[in-house]
Amino acid sequence: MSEARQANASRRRVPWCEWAKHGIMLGIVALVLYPFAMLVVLSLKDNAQFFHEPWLPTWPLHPGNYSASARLLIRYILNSIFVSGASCAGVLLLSSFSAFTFARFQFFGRRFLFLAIIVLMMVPGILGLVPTFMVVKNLGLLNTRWALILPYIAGGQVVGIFLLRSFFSAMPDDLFDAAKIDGAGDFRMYASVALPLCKPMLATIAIMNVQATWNDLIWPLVCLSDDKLKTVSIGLLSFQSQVAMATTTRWGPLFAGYVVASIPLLLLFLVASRAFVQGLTSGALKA
Amino acid sequence: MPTETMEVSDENPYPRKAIQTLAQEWMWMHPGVRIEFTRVSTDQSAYISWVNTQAAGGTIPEIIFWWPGGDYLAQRGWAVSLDEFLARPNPYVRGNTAWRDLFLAGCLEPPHVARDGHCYHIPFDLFMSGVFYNKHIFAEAGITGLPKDWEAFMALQRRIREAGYEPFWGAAMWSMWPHALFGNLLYDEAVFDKLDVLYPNGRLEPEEEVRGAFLGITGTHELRFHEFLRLMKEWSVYWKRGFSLSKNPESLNLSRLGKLGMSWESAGGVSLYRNDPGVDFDIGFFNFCPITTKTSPAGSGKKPPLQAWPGTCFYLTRSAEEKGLVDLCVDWLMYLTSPENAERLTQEETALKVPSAVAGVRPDPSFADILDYDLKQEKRLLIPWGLSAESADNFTRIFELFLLGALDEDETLERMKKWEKIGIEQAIRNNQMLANEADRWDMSKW
Amino acid sequence: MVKPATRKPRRLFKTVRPSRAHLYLAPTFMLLGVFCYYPPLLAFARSFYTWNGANAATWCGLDNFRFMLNDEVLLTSVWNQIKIVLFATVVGISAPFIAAELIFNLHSARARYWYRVLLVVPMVVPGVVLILLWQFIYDPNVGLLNALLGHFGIGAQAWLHDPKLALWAIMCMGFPFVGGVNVLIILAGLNNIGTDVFDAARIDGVGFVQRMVKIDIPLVMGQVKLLLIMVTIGALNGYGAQLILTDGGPGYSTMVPGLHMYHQAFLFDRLGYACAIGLMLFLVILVLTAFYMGIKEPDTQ
Repeated sequence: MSEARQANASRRRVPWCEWAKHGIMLGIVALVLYPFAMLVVLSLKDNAQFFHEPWLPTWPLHPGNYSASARLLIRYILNSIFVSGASCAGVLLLSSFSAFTFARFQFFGRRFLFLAIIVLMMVPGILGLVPTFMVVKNLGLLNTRWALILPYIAGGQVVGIFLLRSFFSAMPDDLFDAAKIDGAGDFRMYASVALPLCKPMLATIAIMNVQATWNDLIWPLVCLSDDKLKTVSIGLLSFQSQVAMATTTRWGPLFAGYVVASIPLLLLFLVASRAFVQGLTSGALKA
Repeated sequence: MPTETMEVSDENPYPRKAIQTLAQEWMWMHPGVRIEFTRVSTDQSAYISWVNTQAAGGTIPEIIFWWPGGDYLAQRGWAVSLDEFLARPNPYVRGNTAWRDLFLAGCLEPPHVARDGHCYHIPFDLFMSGVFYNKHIFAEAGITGLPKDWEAFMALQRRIREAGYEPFWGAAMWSMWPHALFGNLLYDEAVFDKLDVLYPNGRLEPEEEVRGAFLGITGTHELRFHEFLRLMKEWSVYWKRGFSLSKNPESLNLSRLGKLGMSWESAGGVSLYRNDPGVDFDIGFFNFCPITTKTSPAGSGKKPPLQAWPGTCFYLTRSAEEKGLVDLCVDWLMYLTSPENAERLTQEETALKVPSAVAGVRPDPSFADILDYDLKQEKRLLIPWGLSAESADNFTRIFELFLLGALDEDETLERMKKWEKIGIEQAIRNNQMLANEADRWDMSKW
Repeated sequence: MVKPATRKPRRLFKTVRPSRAHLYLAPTFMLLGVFCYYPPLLAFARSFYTWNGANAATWCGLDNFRFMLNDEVLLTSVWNQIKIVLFATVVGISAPFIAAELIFNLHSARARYWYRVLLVVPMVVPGVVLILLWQFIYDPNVGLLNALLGHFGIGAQAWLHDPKLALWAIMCMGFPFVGGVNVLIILAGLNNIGTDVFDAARIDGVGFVQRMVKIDIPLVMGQVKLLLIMVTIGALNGYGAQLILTDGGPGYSTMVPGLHMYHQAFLFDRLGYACAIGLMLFLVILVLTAFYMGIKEPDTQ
């Protein structure tokens, strides 16, 4: 970013142009966010209000919609937290340690093995869907959380290793030399020198992974049929059929459920928006 | 199936409490015997694989749920024939001489029994479907009588549309129900007789259907198939806006919002309407009308049977036999099927109320108009609709395009014929690849 | 973003026995072996078999590929997919580019930051919620879109259940196509353009539009290529909306090869054929990626 350039350039510009840009941007943002605002507005209505005035907020609000929906969704959310959390922990651990090994050790086949990992970034998920399903089935993992966690870790570490290896490679050797003089072994070097320095990087990778696993739809749909194990993505589908189809659609609770399902990642976003934005951008490296 | 809490909740809107109460009572009468309920998946394929593994491991419960007939269980030797017990008196019903007599006529007879002629199942309720209609909409549209023929049915729907409502829909349209219904409305006895030859038991086994298609007895070339396409297209004009024949979820249940004139549903729907706070109209229930030769050259003129057959059925398993518990289990089932207890089971307040398979149980008054049915089924002949899953799926897609006007009748038939051929091939190949040799068809008999 | 190592670091453990490092890598490669290397190989091998997943597979040579050529459903779905990819690349790059230019040319740093953050918000909402939300927007009876168009006197449409509209409805689900990561990527590209380039342009009296065409677009081509690859792969991989909303229907109107593969594998038990379709998709993605990579990037003068 070059603030000086920006400031320079803007001084010459007429203010209405600046306002116009703001105007257009606000319009775009409004279009992007309007459906979500709508979601919140509708989630606080009962059916009578929904049919009478679907566009604007109506009183009284019905926050009770949320408790009804939260009760139905909480199990799915906990499942997702467990699956995404475990996968994320596995990815961070494995990718950081392997990246450390790649960056800091000289060993036979190092280039080849690294290349073998990088190549996986070119293999689209669609090729693996059917055979991975058969692998998981033959391992007897269908309808268990491992059916999600293990493939998530396996696939997630690839980008992690790629990003972290270059990070570790770029770290000055003096750091490690000093630790080595102090008598640090491989693990201590990894844990007390390398890891603390790459925390921001790890946060980025973590967010990237959580976002991907949390939103994954087709893999859990294929692997999980037990309602008790379902993650948010597919749990929402059961929720929708329960609330929307079993009786008259109760629109308020339905939309409240959609909001509830979005809350965990929204919280994560609020806590770590910088890492989030970075994580999403680095997700692009997957391509 | 009973669930753990038995409280009415969003997770379990229709808990079945009665069976637990009845179990308590029965156990009280039989000290030292305990009835345990096992919680199983409500997912059909998960349930089947559960039964398979339990049966293979010898840990299957003494009494299990299965669909009527039970050929699958019988062929594997997992079910116990109940013929002998059904001839005995039920001690819980005064004056009863044979347990069999307690059930509605037809429930324990062909075509509902297993292919080997034995009866393995004890039915509790009836699966039954028909048209629910919104009485207020009918009144508003000035409709006084129920339709007696196809033309009247169409006219009635036109009036509903003119009154500003959507005339017809139902999740049933995603299923094979229409093919079963029209298979009767456009029935062809000669075709049936040519099909029901391998196991002449008054119903068509999958093998007989595939054989019929293979030999060209049934198929898209039949007059009734063409008439099915024509009539459905005529009818689809009155289906709700944005109908879809694939299994995607409906985001809106128009019928319970009072915006749909008629809805084709199963009898369990009555409770859904009753319990729904949003429903402020009365519902009626009627059955479809016959199709005469005046309407269609293929019309059978037959009064369509109530789409009804045994629903929840219980089976005694090998476990019961091995543990010597057959008599006790039968006693428990006899207790459940006395008319008073059957009424408690099927008409309980919190559960979905469905008609009972036991005679003398008063069903919901909504069914009053049409419950003069006879379960002794007429011979059923489905409209042929692809024979493998893939072929049927493509039939439906092509059909959908036909109804929506994207394909004309010639294109539709041409494309369906292609899938018909593939379907026959796939059905035969899938069967010949079955692991259990007893399940494979002997095509030399065809 | 991490920059690639500029200098080759001196290795610390040149003398270490290889086995130790290999041991450290074992867990990674065990998982990769089972879930990342073996499945694609299995897919490749099984695409020459008739395989229903349960019984042993039987060799069928090129039958699956031959069937593919005559598979009307696949041909329709490929055609649909081409439309989706074209639409997604055109709209999915031009709309974010416009938004990025607007944000980039704002002079308040704080405003630039906030617009970026706000555009990321849709990424936080689970994809399924987005799909279900659009289902409501498109609902033929109470949907937002019909209600909105009703104000302009346009009659209600069954967006997702009309053979003429359904594919468009699916393609337009990301409207206005600027939510998420694409804007950020282009913005990063614009930020990387050196100040001197803009200064030089200003001295030469280059106008805004001219600058955009002559400088901005060529200089973010790297990002555009990245987006091209991402959008294409995303479109080929993404059939969740069809799976939930239309099941490829009405008829085959929204069928795509990915969903067709899913049906073959999980509904019709034709896993060998599904593997063959997967293999074909993989090759298509490979070729497209190579093609995009080959697009020449202009030199930065």
